Amino acid sequence: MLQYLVRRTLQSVPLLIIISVILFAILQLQPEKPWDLLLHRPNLTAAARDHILRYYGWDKPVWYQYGLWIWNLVHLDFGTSYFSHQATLDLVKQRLPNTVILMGTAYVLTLLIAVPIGVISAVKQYSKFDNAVTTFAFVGFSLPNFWFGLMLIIGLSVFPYEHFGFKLFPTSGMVSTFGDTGFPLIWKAPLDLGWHLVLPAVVLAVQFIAAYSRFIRGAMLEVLNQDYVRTARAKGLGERAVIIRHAFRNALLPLITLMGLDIPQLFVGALITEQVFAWPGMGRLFWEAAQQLDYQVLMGILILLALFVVIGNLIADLAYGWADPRIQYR
Amino acid sequence: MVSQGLQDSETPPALPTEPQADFDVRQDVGFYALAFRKLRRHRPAMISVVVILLVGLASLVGPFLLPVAWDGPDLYHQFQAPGFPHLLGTDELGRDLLLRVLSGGRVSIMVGLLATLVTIFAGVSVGTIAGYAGGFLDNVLMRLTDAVLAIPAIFLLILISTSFGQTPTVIILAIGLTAWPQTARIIRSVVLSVREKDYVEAARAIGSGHLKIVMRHILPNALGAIVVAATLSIGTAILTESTLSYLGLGIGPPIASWGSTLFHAQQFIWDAPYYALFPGSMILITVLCINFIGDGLRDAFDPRSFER
Repeated sequence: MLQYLVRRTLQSVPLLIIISVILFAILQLQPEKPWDLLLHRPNLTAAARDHILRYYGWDKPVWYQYGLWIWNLVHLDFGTSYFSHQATLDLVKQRLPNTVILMGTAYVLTLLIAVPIGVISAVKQYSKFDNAVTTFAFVGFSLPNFWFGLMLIIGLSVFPYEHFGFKLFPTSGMVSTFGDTGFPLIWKAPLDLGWHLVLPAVVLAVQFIAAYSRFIRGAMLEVLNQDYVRTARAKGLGERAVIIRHAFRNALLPLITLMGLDIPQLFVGALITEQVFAWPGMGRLFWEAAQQLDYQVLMGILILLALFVVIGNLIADLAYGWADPRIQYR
Repeated sequence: MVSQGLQDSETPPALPTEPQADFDVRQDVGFYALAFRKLRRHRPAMISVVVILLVGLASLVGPFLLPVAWDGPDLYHQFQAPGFPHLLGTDELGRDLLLRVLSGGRVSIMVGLLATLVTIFAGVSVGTIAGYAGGFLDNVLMRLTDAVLAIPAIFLLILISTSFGQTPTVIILAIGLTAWPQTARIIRSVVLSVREKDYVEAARAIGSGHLKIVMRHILPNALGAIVVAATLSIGTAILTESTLSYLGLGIGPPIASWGSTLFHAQQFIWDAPYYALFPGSMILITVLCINFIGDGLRDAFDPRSFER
């Protein structure tokens, strides 16, 4: 087990190196250098210009800059904002809890809805319910979720406000009081936070519900054909016990892998949702940095995301082994 | 509804009136002819083909049929609700929204198609080389695939779009080049299974070169998988483009797509709630139809549904 963990960790090192090279190459290949923005100031003296170049190491050759970047990354220095001079890690620390709240809620919502839907549509394959779920899944796959968010805002906030003078749900932010963010909100203002969470969480969840209900349906169908399910039926167990105790628990196993693989997708969804509902999370931080061409923050967040994805996959693999004793790690 | 195509394909192909043998002859139908027949019976896919053709035709011809002046600013008619003569209303500059939606369709569909070309070219090349060559090259290419998959696509696209500018070429190439890993994985697995077939070995035995084996014997057998991947990838590309444009980082103005129209619509959501409705529905309808067609094609090319 420990051996497996060490080996997998070592295997992810080349992966992270390839990712860092890709990102660094994108930055270096661009027609305008990332630091041009800082130097485009008419009153910049030659000495100050040299100082900026030297400070960021931009007067050195490319390989040295790459080495410096990696060296800093290894020492947990993910860059500093060109403009606010805050460390990327600090900026992320402020925003990540908000994204985690959003993603966590959406994920719980997904499981609560998708698992029963998937199981029922597998048990009653080709029924009306199953066909409806299939159609819903296709719509969910094809739905631009930012537009779905806009439609929810229009239908549940703009329309009621214009006709009846109140909003069913707020359209932006995490709480009604300005500027409060982070985990403390969960116990300081749970109701207000929940009220603000409804629309973003639904928007983020809808695409995952579509994907997961299909996935669980597929996994259930496969398990229902297994011998042990037939055995369970043959020994006279009730249908409910067969499905829940024997089939369902085995069908859940591949879901663990899917959770690990979906982490990038979850961040993409969060970025879009945060944009629609002005949710002060990490996706929005990334978008703000992109607007300012704040490349150190952009690169820092991208590397962090890649790290999350790699770690997430590793945890999913380990969890799979924990949940399924047939898997042995070597 | 959707799975009906599968069940329908049980009916055997109709026999033409030819000299009847006294035993049951199954008419020999080619692979693609049979696939086409099965596709024709997949009702959602066929309806989708019609809808897609209508959307495409409207986007292509529609802008010519509406007055040119409607594309320019008309500040006396800002934010007009849907009605006559502006069927879908007007935007913040008084431009006709029907015209905006139709010409936006040109951009969105075009980006979807061209980005898919890039995706398929890159994905099929990488997948084929990795699957056919195997060994070290396979390992390197698959690690590269893993690496691109580990970076969430939209984040990478935002970095590319801010770095290289919001020109059509950059956006199309970027969308294509962030989407290829999925295709590469599918094609690689197909190539891996075809590579060991007897006819490939036979071709090698008579001295065919690698290029000829790949082009004549391996890729034609992967064509079904490629067509399905390409179809689904058009839908994904349209969605990605619209998302990127919605974030204000897609193809820059004056070129407008469905996504960038929505970017503007959000800013006026209180003044003109109808503004956001139609560009988004067009994305949904188009991508939904493409996904239905992809599903139909997958069923049609699935050899397991031959016996059924």
